[in-house]
Amino acid sequence: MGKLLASADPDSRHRRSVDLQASSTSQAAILLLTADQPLLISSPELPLAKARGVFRITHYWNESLCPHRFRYSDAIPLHLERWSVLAQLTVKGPQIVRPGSVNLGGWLARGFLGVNHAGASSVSARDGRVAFILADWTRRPTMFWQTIKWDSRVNNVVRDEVSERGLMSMSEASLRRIRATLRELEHRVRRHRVTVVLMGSNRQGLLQRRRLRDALSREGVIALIPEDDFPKDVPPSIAERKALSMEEIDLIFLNLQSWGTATEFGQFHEHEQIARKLRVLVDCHHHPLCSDPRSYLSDLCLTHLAAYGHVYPIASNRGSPCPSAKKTIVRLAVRYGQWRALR
Amino acid sequence: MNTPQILSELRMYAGLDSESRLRAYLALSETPGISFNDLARKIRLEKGLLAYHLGVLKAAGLVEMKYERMSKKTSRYYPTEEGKKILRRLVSK
Repeated sequence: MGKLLASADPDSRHRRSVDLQASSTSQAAILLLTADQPLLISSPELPLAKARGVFRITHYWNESLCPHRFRYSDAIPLHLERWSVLAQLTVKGPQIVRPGSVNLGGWLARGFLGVNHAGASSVSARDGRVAFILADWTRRPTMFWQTIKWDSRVNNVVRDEVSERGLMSMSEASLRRIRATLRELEHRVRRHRVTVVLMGSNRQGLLQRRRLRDALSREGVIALIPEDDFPKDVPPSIAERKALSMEEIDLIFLNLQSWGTATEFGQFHEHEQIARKLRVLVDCHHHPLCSDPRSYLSDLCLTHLAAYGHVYPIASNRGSPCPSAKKTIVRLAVRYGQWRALR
Repeated sequence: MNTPQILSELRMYAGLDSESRLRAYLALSETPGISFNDLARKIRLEKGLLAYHLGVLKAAGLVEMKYERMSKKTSRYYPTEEGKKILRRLVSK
């Protein structure tokens, strides 16, 4: 892994510099972000000729250091999730950075905010502006060296993203890119990711759940079936309880088809964190609102319905007016993802 | 990409959206066929939690699980072809 240096030049009396040097970990795009406009100093993979006037900042990686938000009419989305703040600068006095003092290595730069737009030859900043130097470390490993000099004071250097071994581990960089990609995908289908658990009886119930899982997968839903997906190395009662309590599990569908599922329903009803995510499916003939709840199970369904809602009647045979379990579950899961996307 | 492809990718990327899960996936990608217990030891994750994360990876289509009854190590994990493609994309840029 490489090293990152971001430091002020102690030998300079009148001019300070921020030297950014990274090696063998990633080829960073360096973005100089001001309160008004971002300036892309270097990005071998995003030549400014293509990116002219086209930055749309979605949000910042580190809100506490980059409180400002920008919007531009043109758009190449520049997802700042994968950018990290290297240094925060306060610019003192109007500064002009001439080509000789900026080693761009052939990359392009743009003038920012109203002082100098003389093509790709200079960079300037207004007095008192706060600028951030950001770097994207998720790129292909290579060497680069960049010096940016102006009469500004480096008042803070953020080293959060600099680990002992270098810039960022592969998993950290990968996680950032995963999240950036996820947001893009969710935006395109207008649906939030959904993770559900399918509970039910064995044998016929298990076959039904496997078909249901395939249908949900086609809708982009992660559908867990405990019997299939959890390893036998861990006792099922432990693995299931752990899984169902996880915050990222959105919905738990339980089809009351057997005494085993009825027992599970009784347990989950008592556990508030799980009960809220529970979506109970009951044969329409035994739904507590469609029949007289004489049995304990029906009575429990009525209590659950009153406390949490989400007890759904499903068809027991083809002639039934109620939808099938599969139709109900798929519709609910998809709609849940659409609803989350709009929140 | 058409909608079904986007939904498929959404499911897979959602499967990786967790630091622990990503660590588990990277570890089993380095050592395909690793057993559940060895994986728990390697990434130092509590077994109940690892069971959950591996379940999600499997449900997301990123790993497959095979059972082998040798001593106490019964389940082994392998990345799927789709999972390998996603990983290559993540590390290649």
